[in-house]
Amino acid sequence: MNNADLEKLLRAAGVPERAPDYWEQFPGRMTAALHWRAQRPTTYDVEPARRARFGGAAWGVGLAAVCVILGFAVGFWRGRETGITPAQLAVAQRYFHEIETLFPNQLQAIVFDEQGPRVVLADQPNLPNVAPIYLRVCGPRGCQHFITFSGQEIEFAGQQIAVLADSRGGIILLGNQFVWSNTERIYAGNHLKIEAINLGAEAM
Amino acid sequence: MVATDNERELVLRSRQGDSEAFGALIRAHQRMIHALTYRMTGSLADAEDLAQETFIQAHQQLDQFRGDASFGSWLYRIATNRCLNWRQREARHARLHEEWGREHSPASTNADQTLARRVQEALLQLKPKQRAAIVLTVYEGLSHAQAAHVLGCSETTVSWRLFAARTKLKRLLRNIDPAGGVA
Repeated sequence: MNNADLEKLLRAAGVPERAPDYWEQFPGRMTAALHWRAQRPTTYDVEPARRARFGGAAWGVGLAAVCVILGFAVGFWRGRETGITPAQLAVAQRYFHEIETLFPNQLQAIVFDEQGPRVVLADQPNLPNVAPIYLRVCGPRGCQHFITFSGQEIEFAGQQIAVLADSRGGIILLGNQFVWSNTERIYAGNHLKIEAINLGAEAM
Repeated sequence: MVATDNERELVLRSRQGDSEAFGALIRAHQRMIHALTYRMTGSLADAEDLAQETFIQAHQQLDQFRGDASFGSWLYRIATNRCLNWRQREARHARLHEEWGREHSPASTNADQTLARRVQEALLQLKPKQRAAIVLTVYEGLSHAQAAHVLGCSETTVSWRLFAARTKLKRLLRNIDPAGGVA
């Protein structure tokens, strides 16, 4: 086998194809990831040599970012006992506006857990333009916060929960083994503590 | 090959925080970076992780892009270094055969799959720097000088790595022909 034969053989071996959706979504996922990294001080992984050159302005921006994250964390920590607080709502609304601007009609949910905010996007930007819903669901292993919409499903503690809103602004959650409503005060199920606010009814 | 005016413009806008501009740069180069990271790892999952790391690092270091090479060459350098630092996980290596069944489209023939798998396995048996030399010159079409620039070494070193890599690949692939059959 000479070099030309070898190259012909190597080139004949293709790379596995990915779905067209993958290529359409990859840039958006990357820019969203970069957006979050810019907001989270834990991912501030600039090379050490470069970090030393940062001046006072960068320290100021960094301090502001730390304050936002700390405020966010403290707000949610306080909310563990007291329910959804105005501070949490304000932060959630800000996150919602930022992500919705980046991905109009494509946002299915924003999940806030111990690992930070996580964005769930639909394949196509064709979701109906409905008011967002803010949820706080607590179970034996802790709480998660969500911004989502009527008609979407969220996952909590391994179970799928359907989220529905009625015409009066009421919110209903349907799990495999429970149903919950914020207006009818009905609840039957597996010891989850749930709170929900229709952000469309709040000043956004 | 220097950066085009369009690339410079997109880089400038990206530095100023324009995510659409950086999205356009990703869109223009995502396939070649994924192909490179796949050739270097043999795993679609690892290739995706490394491609993501490449674009994140590129975004963090945009102020270091001077435009004396194309944006693609600059990305190649980041991606190649990422791949050379990548450590293949044993569990993933053991699953490579399994992945092949899923990763190839149903339209591809058994012969295509067999050939691609054998070639990828042979590539993975090369030393990483030899593999990088093959991937950059054979698959990405870079000259020895361009590959040397990407790899941060001399052209002589690239030539030597290519010689060693070709010798080993010829031995590993001696029993198959481009049609995928085993001779």
